[in-house]
Amino acid sequence: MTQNIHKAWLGLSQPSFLYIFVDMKRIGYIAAAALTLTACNINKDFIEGPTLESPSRTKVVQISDEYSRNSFLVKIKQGSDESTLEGLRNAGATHIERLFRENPARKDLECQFGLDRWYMVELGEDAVLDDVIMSAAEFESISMVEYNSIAKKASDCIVYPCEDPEPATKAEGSDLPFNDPRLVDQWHYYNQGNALVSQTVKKGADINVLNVWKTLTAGDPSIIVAVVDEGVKHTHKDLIDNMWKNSREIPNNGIDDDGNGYVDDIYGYNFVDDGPITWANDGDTGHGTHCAGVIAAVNNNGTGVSGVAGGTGNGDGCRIMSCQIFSGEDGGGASQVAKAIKYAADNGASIISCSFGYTTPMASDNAYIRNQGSAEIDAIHYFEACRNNPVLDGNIAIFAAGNEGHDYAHYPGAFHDIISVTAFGPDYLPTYYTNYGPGCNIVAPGGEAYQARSFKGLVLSTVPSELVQIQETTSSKGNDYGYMQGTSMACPHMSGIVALALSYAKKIGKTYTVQEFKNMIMTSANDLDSKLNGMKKYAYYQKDLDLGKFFHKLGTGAIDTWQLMMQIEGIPSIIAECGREQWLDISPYFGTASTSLTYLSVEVSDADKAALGLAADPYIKYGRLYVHPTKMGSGKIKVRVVGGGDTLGGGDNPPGGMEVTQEISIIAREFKSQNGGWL
Amino acid sequence: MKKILTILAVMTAMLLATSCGEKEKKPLDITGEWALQSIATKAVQIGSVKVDVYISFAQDGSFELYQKVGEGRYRRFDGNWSLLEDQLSGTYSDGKAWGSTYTVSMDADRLIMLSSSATPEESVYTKTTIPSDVKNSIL
Repeated sequence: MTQNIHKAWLGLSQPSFLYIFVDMKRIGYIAAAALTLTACNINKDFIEGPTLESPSRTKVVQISDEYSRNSFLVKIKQGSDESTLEGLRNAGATHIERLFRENPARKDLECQFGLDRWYMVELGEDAVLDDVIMSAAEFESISMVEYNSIAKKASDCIVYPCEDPEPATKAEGSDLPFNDPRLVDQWHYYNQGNALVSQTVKKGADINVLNVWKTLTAGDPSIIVAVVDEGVKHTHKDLIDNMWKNSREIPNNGIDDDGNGYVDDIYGYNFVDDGPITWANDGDTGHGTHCAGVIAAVNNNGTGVSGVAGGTGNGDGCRIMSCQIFSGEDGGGASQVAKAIKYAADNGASIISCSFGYTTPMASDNAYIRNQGSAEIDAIHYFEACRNNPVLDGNIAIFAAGNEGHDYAHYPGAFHDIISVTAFGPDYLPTYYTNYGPGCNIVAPGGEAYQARSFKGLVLSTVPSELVQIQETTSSKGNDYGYMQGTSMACPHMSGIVALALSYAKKIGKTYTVQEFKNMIMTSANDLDSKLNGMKKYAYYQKDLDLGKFFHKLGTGAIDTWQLMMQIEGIPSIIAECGREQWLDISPYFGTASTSLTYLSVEVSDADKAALGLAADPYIKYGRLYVHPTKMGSGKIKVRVVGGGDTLGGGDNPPGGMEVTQEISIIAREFKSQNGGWL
Repeated sequence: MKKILTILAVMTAMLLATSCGEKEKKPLDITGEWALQSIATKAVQIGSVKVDVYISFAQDGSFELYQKVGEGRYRRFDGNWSLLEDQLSGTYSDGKAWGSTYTVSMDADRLIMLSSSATPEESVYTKTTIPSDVKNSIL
């Protein structure tokens, strides 16, 4: 269905509740609450219906100032019947249907997260959306009414073509493990400090994946990453071998062979046009194909680029599922997002890579979901509860933090229990565009233009050669590779790393809960805060970026793939010495960012306290764990931290970090060496 | 019979005396590869934490140490050792001294190391060959 998108600007002609949270970033969350009341008073004559105080208004979810004008979503109360929605037809509804396709195998989970109670309501041409929404909110049987808000891609969506994607002469003497000719330009995987990338390039400003590829894993075909984005060009020569293929569906026969509710869904599904995946319509940008390449472009095939979890060239890369929610100028609606995520869950994805979000800030998680949920949040939580791999008891959702330089993360990624990714550049500093602040959880490479007089400071990946804007660009016409920047690119780096981590955990037979796995992800990070001093030049050295504003606001630090793998292998116990108080380095458990995290609590059981003979309760100071054991023994100390920022989000709290817990294993001996050696 | 018994007794006494004399003169030879068998009488386990330690003392005065304390993979350390009578000391290749010096003794295929810490920690190592998978696990 083509969306009729409307942009609601600030103004008296709009109902107050539609924009009360528009652009609050300069106002602050507390002040916004006061403004809300003022705004409502000014505009209360806009629409006839319940006032702000009316309980029915608290049922309305409206996350963006852009939304569909001819559809919205409703969630009926538990125990209510679909037939009660028929009354909406009198208010202008022309079509009402269940939002989510049923999955009989997961009926219990659908019920648990309320997916069986969401409905899509479509309106006739004469209907006034806001009137119908307010009417729906009055229905006793309806618990939530949601505007079909439009999400935005977290990138400027400009593709700079790769000038020489298939060089005749390949780099010699390289220590790179794969023969993909353009891997040398993918600084975001292995940054050797090449000044051609950026004048301020910093060696090691990457995801530290090289030794993981060489010694541990490069992927596993059973780990599927759903790219919820523009359609992925599944015919791309550097992607096709790593595309997920629905083996139970016969291509192009017009029949839903596997009975999953979707016809001819071979590589995924197009939720915008309700049909085959597309990637080169007018308005398409290559965004989805670029993200897919970062995650799992085929490695070691002597072609183009590498992907984080793209395998070794032996059919062992992680797989990409294309869940298309943008098509040309259309798409991005909450209904499409929610359905795409449900599809990913029901068809085997372990990770959703979501480089989009709603740009409007919200005062809290509950201000967004009205204590009840939204279609997309319910779908995400359903996704994370579905088990699609042997490692976890569920799945992992990854979102981009946003690309507008806002001092908050965009929802849904800002939701307290969802990973939201900010961006660093080849200088290992925050990029000029990245969002930061509440809701941001961790940093990954997003690339940055204007640092060098080439585009090599951006992220290099796969793109569809068909796109007009590429074809019109100079000599690189028609090639399948290009540079882009954004938290949109940081997000698939994280998705690829998580895919690698699941691959390795599977390989060595480890299992975890989703929360345990998130704990490891969030604490496998390198400190960036200590680098945030003074100004950074950008835009060809014409502009200054104040680095101080990012302090403690980028998440737990810069993701380090190797650290994550070492956490999966298991962290050795830390040795303490009996008979004196001492501090212990806990960076193996919390990354080098351990010194700048916000610690919530330090707990030790009575049994462990006795086992170590602790003379006093352990505590954290300046990111170091202080203990005073008095006898030889071992025990575990549980440490809780804020995963990104100073405060926890969730509920009515302002947006904030997720709670992260690590259990630190301590062994006390009569003596210890300074380097951890046993002797 | 009495004479025979006397001769045997004298010979035994001579043998013992010779043996003791040789033992006193022979320096300890700790070269070779060793595996930690017990620590302070707790067999390779401190509380719930399993400890695996392999040490190789080479004749040229260098050593290799492979350890796994709790979870994770083996870590490798190396450096130099010296033995003065029964006092064993060493330095890691990063310049850090061992956490303790040790009084060592040997009993058949066992190496007993008693730390010089305030509360001595006794570790017993047995002769072994360090498994190749341990060595190969080092990255």
